[in-house]
Amino acid sequence: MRGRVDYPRLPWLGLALLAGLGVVATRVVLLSARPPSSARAASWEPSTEVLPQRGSFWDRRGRLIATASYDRYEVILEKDKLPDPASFLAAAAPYLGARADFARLQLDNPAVQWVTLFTYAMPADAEAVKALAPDGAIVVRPLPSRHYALGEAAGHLTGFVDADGHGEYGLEAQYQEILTGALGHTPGPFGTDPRAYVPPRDGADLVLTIDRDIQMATWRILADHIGKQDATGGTVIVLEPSTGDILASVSYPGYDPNNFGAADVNRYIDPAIGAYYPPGSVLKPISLAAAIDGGVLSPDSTYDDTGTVFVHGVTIPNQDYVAHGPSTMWQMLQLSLNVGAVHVADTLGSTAFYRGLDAFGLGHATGIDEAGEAPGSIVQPGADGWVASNFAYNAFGQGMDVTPMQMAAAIATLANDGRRMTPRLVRQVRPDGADPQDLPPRTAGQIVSAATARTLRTMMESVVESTAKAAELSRYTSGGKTGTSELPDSDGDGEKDLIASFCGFFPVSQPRAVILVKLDRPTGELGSRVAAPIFAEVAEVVADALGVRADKAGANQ
Amino acid sequence: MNEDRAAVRPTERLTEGLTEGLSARLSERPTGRLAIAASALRAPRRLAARADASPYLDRRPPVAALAPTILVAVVVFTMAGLLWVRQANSVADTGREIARALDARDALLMRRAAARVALAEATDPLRLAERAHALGFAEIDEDDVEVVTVVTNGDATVGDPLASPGRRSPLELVVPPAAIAVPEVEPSLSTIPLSLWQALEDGP
Repeated sequence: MRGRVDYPRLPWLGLALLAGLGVVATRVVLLSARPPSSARAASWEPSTEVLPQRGSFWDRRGRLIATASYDRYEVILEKDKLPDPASFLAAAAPYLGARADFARLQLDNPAVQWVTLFTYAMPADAEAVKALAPDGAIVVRPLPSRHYALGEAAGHLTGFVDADGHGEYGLEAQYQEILTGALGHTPGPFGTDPRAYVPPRDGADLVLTIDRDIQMATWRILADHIGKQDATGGTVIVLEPSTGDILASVSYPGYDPNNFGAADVNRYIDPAIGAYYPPGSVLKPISLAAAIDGGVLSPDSTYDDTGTVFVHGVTIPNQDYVAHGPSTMWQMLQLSLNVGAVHVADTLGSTAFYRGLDAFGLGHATGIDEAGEAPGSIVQPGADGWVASNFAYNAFGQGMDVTPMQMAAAIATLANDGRRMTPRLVRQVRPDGADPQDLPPRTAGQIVSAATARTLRTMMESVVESTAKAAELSRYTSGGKTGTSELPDSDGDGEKDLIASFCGFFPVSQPRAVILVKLDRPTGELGSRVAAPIFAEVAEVVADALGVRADKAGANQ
Repeated sequence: MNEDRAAVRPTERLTEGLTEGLSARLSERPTGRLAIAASALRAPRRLAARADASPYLDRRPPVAALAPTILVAVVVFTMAGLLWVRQANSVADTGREIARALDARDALLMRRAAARVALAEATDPLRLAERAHALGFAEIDEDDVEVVTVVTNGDATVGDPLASPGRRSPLELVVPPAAIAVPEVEPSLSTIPLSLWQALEDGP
């Protein structure tokens, strides 16, 4: 038998052991069960970013407009594998350009082992430089980039993505956050701890309102006419009045977003939303709609057209310098009589006139979902710079600055029975791993009554039937208004710089499309002569693409 | 039992008299040189307080009594350690899986992007138009379209086609019902003329 021995420290030892076991067990449970907090995951180093893929653009019929690609390259040179750096640099200098000096400094620096020749090279440059070095001396790594299927034809709309992954201009800038997605993280190059792994969320795809066929055809038609007219530029907008959907928006000259670095930076801004112009006589249906809707005039109201009118200190002549005598509003619109337009504005009064322009959205940003929209400029009575003669000039669309998009949206209001829709370019967002989200059309309210809008459409149809026959369509009724506006002499040749424009719609009873055409400084001056034919050509394309039913008597279906 | 305990406690017996005697004398707490000398003879306080805590004690029996507890602790600790190792291994495996999956994802994304670019280029309207031109198709004006009406019912006027009412072209083909040959039996391969076979074989 053995005697009892007391070990007073033994319980403490047991407790310590149990505590240790508890710590181990807790750690095991935590490892297996508890998700890492984002703060802890973020604080763990080293961390490696997992790049999400940028969302794509699809047209309204599911065809690709822009998508992620990997055809830009980082080009890195390993110095030790280059036997003759001097001759290599001499041969590569044409491709390296301004980077050649930097590369020379790096090659001369003994502390540098790897020299980055390009951070964002075009495929041709990367291949050419790689061919100049011995095998294995140059590493070419593909980088995320962007491919734009329509190139120059839609460059203004899409914008582009720079080397840092930031969207610039157009839709790329407007929807930067949605398109980019969210970065993922791994704890290191070998991914040793999955708790620190945060999966990337790819950017959402955007379904545009653009129709690729219409966009391409419109681009080709515009470029063709600009060449024929020797114009300096132009814009065509095709808009669906019932929704505000932009079916096509083309401006010339453009730039190719696939090679945006080669373009003049002044071309990056979309002239359809960012360039001002005086709308000229295209404004006349707007002021007339305000007058008819306000009850101060009717289509059959008459005035005495004297050929010129002296008002607010300035003399306003008709564009044909002819006195037409007693004339109705129909004639005022058909013959685009400036004296009649002044009569309309005077009858309305300046307050109602400018309120009407405001209501139609002129002089204000339309709210289109494209980066870089300019608000326009219409000086109101009482504002700085206001003089009484402004009112006289504004009556027929001179002395004010609007964007083509504003003008198209204003005429679309008449085509949509008086309800103004906010133009839009995106109709659906498709997030990564989630259900698509339809973006509903946005309305800016009922501007004039449906009856007034229908009356104006009929009057504009009469314009096409009388003085703008070039805008007539073979199978569809069409309406519209020509405009020829003057710009200040920009090149100093002493000759007026003109803008010819036409804004119309078809079919008249229930318009499916509003088309605005603007040509800058064409050789043929009148809008009816140079812009209306473009309207007709584009309208035929739109009708085919949308499957519009013919509404003209005798037309073949 | 008491004898056994006494047998294993020699130190207690040996020090019993000394400690008790010294304690009695020191309790009087004398002062002076003698008291200081006596305190030097006093047994160490630790030994006095815990007479059983001698280095000469045989500890084997108490350790044996604790053996099951220690064994359980060791087993539990070992199992926990194994669990830890297994968990860490699983974590590392998962991490490597993630790394491999990310590489595969990158490759797939690049392939998808390349496929999309190829698709976009293949369906490019300008390229399609060029292909159509190369194949002999061309855009035509409406004036170039000639509508040819083939009338196969009995109402057709047989005779001068231009005498027929309505918008008809000189190429209008009016086929009287009797002129349409209706085969009585479905043709078989043997009924196909030899020349047709030759044409098929010589064709592109």
